Amino acid sequence: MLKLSSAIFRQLLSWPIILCATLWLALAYNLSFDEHLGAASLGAFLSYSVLALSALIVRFGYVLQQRRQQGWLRQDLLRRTTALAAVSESLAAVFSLFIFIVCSQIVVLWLNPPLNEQHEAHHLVMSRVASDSSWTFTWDDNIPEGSKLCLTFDFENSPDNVKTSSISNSIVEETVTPGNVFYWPLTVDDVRNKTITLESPLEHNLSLIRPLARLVITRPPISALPRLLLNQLLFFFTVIGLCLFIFRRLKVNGNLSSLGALAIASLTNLRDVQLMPNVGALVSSGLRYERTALTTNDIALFTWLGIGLALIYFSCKAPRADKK
Amino acid sequence: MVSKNMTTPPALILENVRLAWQDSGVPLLNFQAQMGDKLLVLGENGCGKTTLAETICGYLMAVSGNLGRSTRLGYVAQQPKLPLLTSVESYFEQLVALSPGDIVNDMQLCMSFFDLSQHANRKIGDLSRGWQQRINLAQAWLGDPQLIILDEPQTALDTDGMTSLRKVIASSSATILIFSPPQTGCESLIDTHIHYGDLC
Repeated sequence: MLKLSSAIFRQLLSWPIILCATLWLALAYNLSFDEHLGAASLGAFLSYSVLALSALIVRFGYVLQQRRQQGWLRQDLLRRTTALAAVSESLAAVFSLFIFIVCSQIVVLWLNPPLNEQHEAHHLVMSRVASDSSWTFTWDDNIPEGSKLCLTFDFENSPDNVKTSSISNSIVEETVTPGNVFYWPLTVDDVRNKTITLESPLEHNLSLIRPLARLVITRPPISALPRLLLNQLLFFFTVIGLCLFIFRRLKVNGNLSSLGALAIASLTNLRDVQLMPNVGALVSSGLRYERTALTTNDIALFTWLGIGLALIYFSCKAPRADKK
Repeated sequence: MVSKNMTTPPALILENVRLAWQDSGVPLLNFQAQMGDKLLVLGENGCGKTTLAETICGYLMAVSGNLGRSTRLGYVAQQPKLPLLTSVESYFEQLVALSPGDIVNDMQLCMSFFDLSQHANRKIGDLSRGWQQRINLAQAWLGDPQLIILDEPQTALDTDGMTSLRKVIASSSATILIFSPPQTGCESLIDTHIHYGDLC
């Protein structure tokens, strides 16, 4: 099986593909971290990495189709009814993705690029006035624990001699100075519920400057890169299983199978309808990455990996004979 | 005394088999081949030889009837699909990896049957149609199959290739079924000939 895997691996990562991947890696590094071009953010680098991994999945589908045209599926059926070729194919695909990820890590950790010096990132947060003296804040993504709300209040009609007021969530009460930036730490429950309501218990006509409301999120350090890239590998593991299943069991063209697998996997990012386990954060990139990176729930992750394993298992069963 | 036929199951048995393409008026296939039998099945174009070969291999499903065969099977397709960008040796290595059991030594033997060792490192696509047919033939013997189905194996073979094929067939202990139209040169490969219509 390892011989078969290595043969498929060599087909997947042929010399032109290795050259393209190397150039892409160099381009990704420069566009992400160059002091004039780049955003100096790991999120930017991760978005290029996700694109490369998606391209490798498409390449995997192409190789599957090539192998079908070369009669390998028939050889599977003829020689071994348990069709270990499917396992070999998935091993080769995972390994090729793994190689790219390891190279990405080595390049970034070795060159140690200057990241954005600010330790924390500020993201917009949806706020609405719940009543005259209370405000509700909501956000769509899973955000990391330890995040804070950054708020600025003002007195609409400042009472005489009153310079401070207080804000409460009905359990904790904090003093706030209108005009100054105020940070409200979010609890685990707040993070899980993706909403929090704050109120002003005193009748001080306190008003929130809503356009300035922000979520403050700690940026993952560069040492988190291996974990972030590993998350991408875990995400694409199930995509590989999906691609194999569509190709082998549903007998769809290999190129279409890979595109279909990527399209189905993208459903994990749907927020309103929960069709798939909520693992979109595994491939969070760009600006959104700061909010969602490393926030994947363990249950969702293991469900996602379980789906991948089940798909590979069902792909391993010998294809059925056709009716003419 | 128990006869050989009772102790050894037949290598191939067809009982009232209706192939996928057959109309209801066509007679059903009933046929049995014992271990070690070597048969040439002759039939005109379009009579269903390839469909039957593919049904025996499991690529096509019989509409009705029972089909039993040996588990270790070799198949030479009429129109082989070979990995043209792969080297001959790598192709056989992959087939070895696909096949159950330890058949690494078998690989060199099968390649030597058809003098393929001299082209071991060449890409299959660089070889002539005749040499590609030799590869197609050699892979069928890989893994010591009990039943070998050859669909028009003489295609593109020169005299030397036909001689090699005749020798390999003669020395093989497997049950061999060759499907071919009449008068294509396959008659010289095996002495026992039957017509496709006799399978019904």
